Amino acid sequence: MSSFSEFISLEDPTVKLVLVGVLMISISSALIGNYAFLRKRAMIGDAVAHSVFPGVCLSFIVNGEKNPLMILAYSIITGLIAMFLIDVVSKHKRVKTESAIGIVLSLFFGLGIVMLSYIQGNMGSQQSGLGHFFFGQAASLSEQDIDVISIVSLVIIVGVVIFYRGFKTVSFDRSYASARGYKVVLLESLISILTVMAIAIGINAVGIVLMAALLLTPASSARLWTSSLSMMMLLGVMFSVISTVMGTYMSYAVDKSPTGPWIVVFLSVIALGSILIAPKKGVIPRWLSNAKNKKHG
Amino acid sequence: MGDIWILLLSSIIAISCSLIGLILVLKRMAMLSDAISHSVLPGIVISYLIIGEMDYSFFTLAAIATAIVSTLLIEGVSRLANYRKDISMGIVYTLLFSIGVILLTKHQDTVPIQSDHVIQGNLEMVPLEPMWIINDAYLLGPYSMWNGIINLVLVALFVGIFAKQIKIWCFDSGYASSLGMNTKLLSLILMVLTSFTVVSSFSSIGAILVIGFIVIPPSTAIIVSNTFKSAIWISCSISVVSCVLGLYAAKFFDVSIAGMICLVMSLIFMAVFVFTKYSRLARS
Repeated sequence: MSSFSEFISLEDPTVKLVLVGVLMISISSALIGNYAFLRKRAMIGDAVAHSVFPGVCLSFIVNGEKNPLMILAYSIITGLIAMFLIDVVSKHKRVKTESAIGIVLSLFFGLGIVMLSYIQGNMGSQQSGLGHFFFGQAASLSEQDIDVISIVSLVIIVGVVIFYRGFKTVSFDRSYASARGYKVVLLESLISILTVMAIAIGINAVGIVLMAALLLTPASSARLWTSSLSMMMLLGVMFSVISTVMGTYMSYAVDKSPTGPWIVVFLSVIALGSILIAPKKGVIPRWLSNAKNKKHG
Repeated sequence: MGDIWILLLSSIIAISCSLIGLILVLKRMAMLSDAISHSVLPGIVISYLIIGEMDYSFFTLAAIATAIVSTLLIEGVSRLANYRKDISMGIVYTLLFSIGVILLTKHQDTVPIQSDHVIQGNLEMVPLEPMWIINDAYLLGPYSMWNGIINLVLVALFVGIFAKQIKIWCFDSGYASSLGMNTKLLSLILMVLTSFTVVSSFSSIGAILVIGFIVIPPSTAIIVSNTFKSAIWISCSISVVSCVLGLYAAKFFDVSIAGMICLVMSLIFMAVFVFTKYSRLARS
């Protein structure tokens, strides 16, 4: 077990590399996650994260190796198909949105499991490393992975900055945005594409099962501290960065443990802490101000 | 010979899932099964670490306890922080599942639960499980199947005895309470039975594929049927048919059985979905 100071001083070049990768991932997910939060599409991120798994497997079957660029391309495609399917299925008048999410999630995840067992059985590669995509294993990121992750993250960050005004208007009030002449459908599709991209790189760090937390939890915690979207993004990124550094360290320090669960634990601690102490909206400040009011009243 | 146990066990699990699932889907609580199935993991791991052996009844109790804790947490978080339900659900289940995975990987050498099986299911191993044999002569099948049977009986009793109440509760919750029905009690029983179902299927189909077993057949049935009763029969039949087809397809392609069953269920759903849409279009 290496000490935290050793870890954070980045003396080990591989640690440095990995940390750059996971930080890019957490920053981009925390940013784009705000829109999933605001547009009330929290669980859709979860379903899409499960749905990129067959894309990962398919890329492996087609290419016979772990090629980060191909994995990215295939998982973005399957993720987008899943998002589209959720929309189509939930439009049926006898299928509720929650069920549509569950159906699409299990359709793609079942497909992924079938493909994975095919790979394990026929391609003789128990060590294919596909298992890392379940819970995330930042330590296994290669230099090539980090390159892909960094480029995609930059695209997401730049996209969020450039389209800030449009995304914001569309997320808060769709009909107002359309009245103001924003191209609503285009902007919404852009948000979806950027979200799927964030998920496709994010599963490297936190894995399929826990990806929802990386999108959702920073935004939800930040929402308790502020009402402005730009502050929410800033705080969310901060929370996410802290949790990612701590989580990656813990996964290094505790033998063989995956990164994802640790990052999520720290994210959740921050979320629960925010629920308790956030000014105005937190439980304790509210309780204190209630007590004060009672005294004076 | 081994296949028959896989077929029986998967069908038993699938029927329990679709009975419970029908109520969950009608109550718009489909994603609660997602939350419960994930939060059950820490309960099972912790209970193993406490007693140090695989004791199914203890697992069930621990899982039901964690399911209740997670439901209370979801409720509490969404009330305290003013979140919508799905957001607090996302926060709570990912936290609990993370704790489960961390404990599981930390005690990998002592806990006989593999994180792979939690994800992928493990129906293939059913024929190799310890069998219940009476008097050295009567082979009654693997123990896990009998756990599934107990669960199925409980679920079927719940649906059978409270059929009328469930029906009213599903379609008009306000009317149900105005009739003086104890809807809180119904929710509690539903939640306990959901966690029981998730636990009994945990070792064979895993924590994630179970969502498909719970959501897909009932959703398919709801599309095509007009009464509660026919929805029950249709969704149970779809479950069993999927188990049979899934098992043989999986054997044929030599892939994961649980995954294949889930895939067959979704293909049936898609076929029904497209067909009903198409036929409605053709009519109009």
